[in-house]
Amino acid sequence: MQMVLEGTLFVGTRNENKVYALKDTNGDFKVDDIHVIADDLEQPANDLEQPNGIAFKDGALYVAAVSKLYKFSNIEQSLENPPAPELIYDDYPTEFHHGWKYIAFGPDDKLYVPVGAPCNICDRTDEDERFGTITRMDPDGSNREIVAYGVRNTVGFTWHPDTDELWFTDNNRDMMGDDLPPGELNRISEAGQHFGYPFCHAGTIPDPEFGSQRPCSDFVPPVQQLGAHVAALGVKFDTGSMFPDEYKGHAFLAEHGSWNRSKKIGYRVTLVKLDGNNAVSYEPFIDGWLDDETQEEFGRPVDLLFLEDGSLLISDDEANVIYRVTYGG
Amino acid sequence: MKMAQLPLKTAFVVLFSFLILSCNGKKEKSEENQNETAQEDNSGDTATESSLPLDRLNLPEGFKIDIYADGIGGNSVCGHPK
Repeated sequence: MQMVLEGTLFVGTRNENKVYALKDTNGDFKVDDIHVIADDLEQPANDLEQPNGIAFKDGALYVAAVSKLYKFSNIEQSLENPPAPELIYDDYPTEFHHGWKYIAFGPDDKLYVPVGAPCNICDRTDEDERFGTITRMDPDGSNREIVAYGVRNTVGFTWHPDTDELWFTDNNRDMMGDDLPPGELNRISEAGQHFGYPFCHAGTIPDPEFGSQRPCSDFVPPVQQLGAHVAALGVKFDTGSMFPDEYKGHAFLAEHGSWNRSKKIGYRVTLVKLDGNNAVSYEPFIDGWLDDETQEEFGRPVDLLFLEDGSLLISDDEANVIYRVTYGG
Repeated sequence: MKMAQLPLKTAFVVLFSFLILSCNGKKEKSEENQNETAQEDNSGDTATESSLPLDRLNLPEGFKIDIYADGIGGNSVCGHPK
């Protein structure tokens, strides 16, 4: 449930095969107008499979399904009856495993599109060098290039407000036990860096199968190791005016929560405080969606977005809601 | 346990849950499937502002959390004719 705000709040979904446009028409911070922009049940020709990834530029909404990218031009003028979208490309890998996308336009006006590794742990880059990478392209789909290698599955990234560098979360491999390997919050300081997968996880954990091929020292370590299996997805920096100063410029993470662990963890929003590009703390900001004793949860955070007033939206694909977090007032 | 031995109401709830899960889960990545099917039985509940226990969430002093939008991607699509 990636969110993009452009007057209208757009929400992509993984499970429903729909893209929503939400409006708060009377300014009470409650959505009161909901449109379905794309719905594969109603428009089978669009073949919108897992249209989680959405981005907005120059009046157009871009929707990334697994292997395809669509463009809905002038979307805000046609929310009632959206025209058929333009197909920008249809030649990205078709693997559903880690195929659901998070996409975004960078400060360089390029569209960033990751391609997950099509497996828990594998090296299939000889088949298609885009597996396990983050790519970028011009809005028309041209001039494609790979900007980061060794990325297992990123479902959340953003640009640092001061440096314009790309920061991204990465979900690490499963089946190495409850506490290995840690998740990752990463920073790309130059195009073409390699972040370790499948050889080394979180900068320090050689993979049992692939680790002998290349040492961890070959790769860029994470800014912050996250909890193992927490499934960190959305990441955003607080640049707004609502939250207290102690939160300014620090990174908020949506942790979707573990599936491959004897005791569940994640199911929370965490805060990584920074000193420059270095992390100085990693702590919960909001928790309680998971009841530790019963091991049942009532929600799973997916994506984060700061509104213009500085409040924070959190999308939840289990409770099927969007929350708004405010301070004071 | 045989279905016939369950009280009718329980059987209905179980059946309903299966319908919801099969509708939502068909295209998920395989690892998530295991997780989704392991979730609690109340998947058929419609998430609404009143039914979510927001008071169970722990926020730092001075912060507040509310529902901004609900029913996004809700279970209602499952009944849509294909």
